[in-house]
Parts: sequence; structure tokens; C-alpha cells
Amino acid sequence: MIFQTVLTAMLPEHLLLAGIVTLLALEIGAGRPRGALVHAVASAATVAAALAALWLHASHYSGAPFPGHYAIGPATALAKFLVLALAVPVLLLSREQFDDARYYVLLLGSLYGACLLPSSMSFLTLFLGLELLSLPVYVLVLLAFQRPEGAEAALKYLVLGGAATATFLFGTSFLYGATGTLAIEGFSMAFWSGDPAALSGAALIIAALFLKAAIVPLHAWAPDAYEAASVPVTAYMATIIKAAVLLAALRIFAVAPVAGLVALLPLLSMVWGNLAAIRQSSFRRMIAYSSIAHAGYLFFAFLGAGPGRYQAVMFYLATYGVMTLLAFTALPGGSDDARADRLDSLKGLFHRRPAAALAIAAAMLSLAGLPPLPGFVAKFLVFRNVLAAGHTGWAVAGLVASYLGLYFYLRVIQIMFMQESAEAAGDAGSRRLSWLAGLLCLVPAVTFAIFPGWLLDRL
Amino acid sequence: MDRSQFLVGLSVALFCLGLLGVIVRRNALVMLMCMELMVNAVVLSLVTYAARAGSTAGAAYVFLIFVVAAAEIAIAIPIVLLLVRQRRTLDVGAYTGLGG
Repeated sequence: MIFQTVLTAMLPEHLLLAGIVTLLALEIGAGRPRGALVHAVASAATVAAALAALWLHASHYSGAPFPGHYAIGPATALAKFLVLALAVPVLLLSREQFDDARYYVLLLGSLYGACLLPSSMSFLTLFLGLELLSLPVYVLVLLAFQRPEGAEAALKYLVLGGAATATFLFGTSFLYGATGTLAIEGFSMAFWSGDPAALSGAALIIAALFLKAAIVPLHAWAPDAYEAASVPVTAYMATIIKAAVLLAALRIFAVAPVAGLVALLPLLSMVWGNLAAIRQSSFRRMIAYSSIAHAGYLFFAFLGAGPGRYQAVMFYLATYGVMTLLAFTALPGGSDDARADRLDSLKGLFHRRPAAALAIAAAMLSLAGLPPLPGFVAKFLVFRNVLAAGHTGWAVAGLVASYLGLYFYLRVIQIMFMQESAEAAGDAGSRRLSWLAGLLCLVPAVTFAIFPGWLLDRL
Repeated sequence: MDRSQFLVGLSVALFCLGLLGVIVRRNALVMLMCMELMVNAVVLSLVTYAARAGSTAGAAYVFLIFVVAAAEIAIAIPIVLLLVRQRRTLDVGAYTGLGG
């Protein structure tokens, strides 16, 4: 029965949609519903969707409710679980800053797009997923509106994002013209055929993905958007948007060979991201440049061969997402957002709130890729695969570039532990939800650090 | 030169014109128009390819593109309005609050 398949295969998406509809109904029915209720509905929908994705993965379900456009298998379900599980701490963080339904409707809508991406079989679904993922985020950047630059950053993000969309569409149109199909297999067919129109189509699609993931010559929107948005939205952009774009890239590159030129720009973005992060004085701008460098490592993993590539990217996304979120949950809040965001406000954090300082330090060391933290295993997997595929020169260059980042990650630790605090004011009091969110990140982080093999066996 | 080749060439030219406009023009509204020009170039090439191949997939794609482009503009215009109310200008060069 086709109805049955549609219901089961798209269960995570349906649950998100149910959350959106409930929130809208509450907004219409109750005028201004209470913040706690709105937050509970949004969190429940996301947790339920994550559990549904986990259940689909555990029961080895596979089905294609819309043949040729949308299909789900155990691996796809796991990718959806990763994205949805990363969204839960973001939602918990949002509670203290946002209590109107609009914010949560937009966030769930964007998550819906992120869920469509790993399942897409044709460029049609992929395009819808990418747009559904990014359109709400333009508004989310603006919605924080704690700073006057918010609208500027949103416009910059929107214009560049719109140009990326048009480029992506032009690429798919060329592939459609050359292969006569909108199926994603057309992408790898283009490489084998050697037809110039198809090849330029593939190049345009790659350029659009690079822009969405903020790879170096196309990264200008990221630092501005990250800085202007509020903490939960920045956390959302740094982890979930990045994960979703990389999952889309995994779908597209499933069988295609990767040329050397594709590795050059990620290498540049590692170098530039790590160097530019050094001179930032805002925490969120620093995280933006760090995420540009990490997008470089992630695309570097595409030099490796098929199955190892999937494993490396998924493991990297999981550890990177968990660790970045851990840093954001431990960040001290404050009434003055621009001041709380300055790196100077972290001065002497260890003497004021030792637990938060230790959590941020662990996250920074893991992002820098030091053993025994999970970030090291993730980087090790990426570079081992690149070496195994025979790209020794690229692997060495990438390793050197990756340790350029050590300086600015260690600088954060130095600021927190070794400098005297300027003033103790500005810290918010009890924040139980932040603690819960931090715990939700800490448990998987410790698990990945102690038993990386346990996760790798499941990928 | 047959007609479909001419139309694809025209769409490439329109796309490049739009991209150039997004990069060099400093007026926020003109930048948005150039973005739309890029999308319209894509639509032209898709329709041409769909007519040549005689398949409907390309034409269905065009409808989705229209819906998404409309949504994008519906988000863009309020942002521009907000900026104009703050800064009293459409010149992107005057928006200097950001480091870039």
C-alpha cells in the first residue's frame, strides 16, 4: 500500500510537520501562546522526529515512497538522526532568548529541509531541501535583532545564498540538458561522459555547494551572519546547516570521482580559516572562521574512496557538531549581547565558573584535533582515507594546515585560565536548560572519546 | 545555428549578466533584480532543454523554481525595507556596520 509507505518512510518529516502545524494553530487560536508551551511543543516534535529516525535505522527499514525522487534506507535514517539529535541542544538553548512561536516554526521548517537532503534521489528534491533549509535561516539571522547589523548580515547572506541557488539550478539545468534526467546519478554520468556542457554543470553545482558550506573564496557571508545572529542561531548555522550541506554533498558525490582541483579550495579554506581566526576579538566570529576551516577538512575527506569517505564524514560531523554545541552551551550569557560576545569577557572564567571553563576548553582542544579527544580520531580518519587513496601530497599539506589552528584554540584557553577576570558581572544566574543541553553534548562527546570504534561500527 | 542552441546561448548570457550585476552593482534593489535575472536565465534554459527532450520533468522543475524564487523575494523585500528605514539609503556601500 503506497499510503502506508509514505506514512512510515517519511515519519521524521511528518512529526516535524505536525509540530509546525500545532505551533501555527496555537498562534492563531491563543493569540500569544505562553513561551513554555511553545518551547515544549517544538522540543517534543524534534525529539520525536529524532527517535523516529533512530527507529527507522534500527529496524533496517528501506522504502521509496516517491520512486526516483525520495528514498530512505538505514544509512539515510542515521544521517537524519544525526541532524535531528544535534538540533535538540540548540532548541534547549533557544528557550531563554526566544519565546514566540515564529522562531520555532522557522527552526522546524529549516530542520524539515535538512531531513529531505540525505533522502533525495533527484535534483528536484535536493533543490527543495536546500531551499527549505536556508530560507528560514535568512529570517532567523534577522529575528534575533539584538544588533543593528542584523539586517545587513541577513541581506548579505540572502543575496549570496540566492546567487548560490541560481548557480546550483543552472548546473542542474545543464546536467538535465546533457543527460536528459534530473536523477542525481546524472552527476557522476557527467564525469564519465566528458561532455563539456555536463562538466560545466557539475562544476556549477560544486561551486554552489562550496558557497553554502562557506569554503574560502565564497565564505564572506559566514563571519557576518554568525556574529549578527543570536547564540542559538549561530550554533544552528555552525552545526546543522553545515552537516546538512555536507550530507547533500555525500549524496551527490556518492559514486563520482573527485578531481584534484576540488581539493585545492578546501585546502585554502583550512589555511585561511585558521589564520583569520587568530585576529578575531569576537567569539562567534572566531567560531565562524573555525567552521570555515572545518568545512575544508570535511570536503578534504571526499578525496578518499567510497565507503571510508562516508564513515569519515559522518564521524567528523558528529564529533564536530557535538563539540561546537558544547562550547556554545557553556558560554556565559549576558544582558548586553555585543559585550558578552567579546573574547575578553571570557577572561578568568575558570575562577568564576570552573565547569563552564573546562567544557569550553575540552571543546577547543577537540576542535584543534588533539588526542585523546574525539576531534583527533575524526581528523585521523579523514587523513588516513586520503592517504589510502594515494594522495600523499594533499594529505601532508592538509595536516600542516590543520595544525595552524592550534594557536587560536589555545589562546581561548589561555584567556580563560591564566588571565584575571576584569569584573564578575554579566553572568546569568541559574540556567538549568543550558546545563541540560551541555549534558546532552557531553555524554556523546565522552562516548566518542572512549569508544570511537563503537560508533564507527555503526556507520 | 538552430533555435535551441540560440536559446541556451541567450540563457548563458542572461545568467552572466545577472551574476555580474550582483557582484558590481551597489544598489540593494538592483542586486535583488539581478538575482532574479539569474533565476530567469535558468528557467529559460530548462524550458529549452525540456522542449528539446520532449520530457515534462524540466517543466515541473520550472514551477518549483518559481515558487521558491517568490518566497525568496518575499523575504528579501522586508529586509531591504528595514535597512532603508534604518539607514535612509539603498546603497550597499553605506552599510558599513560589518567587517566583511
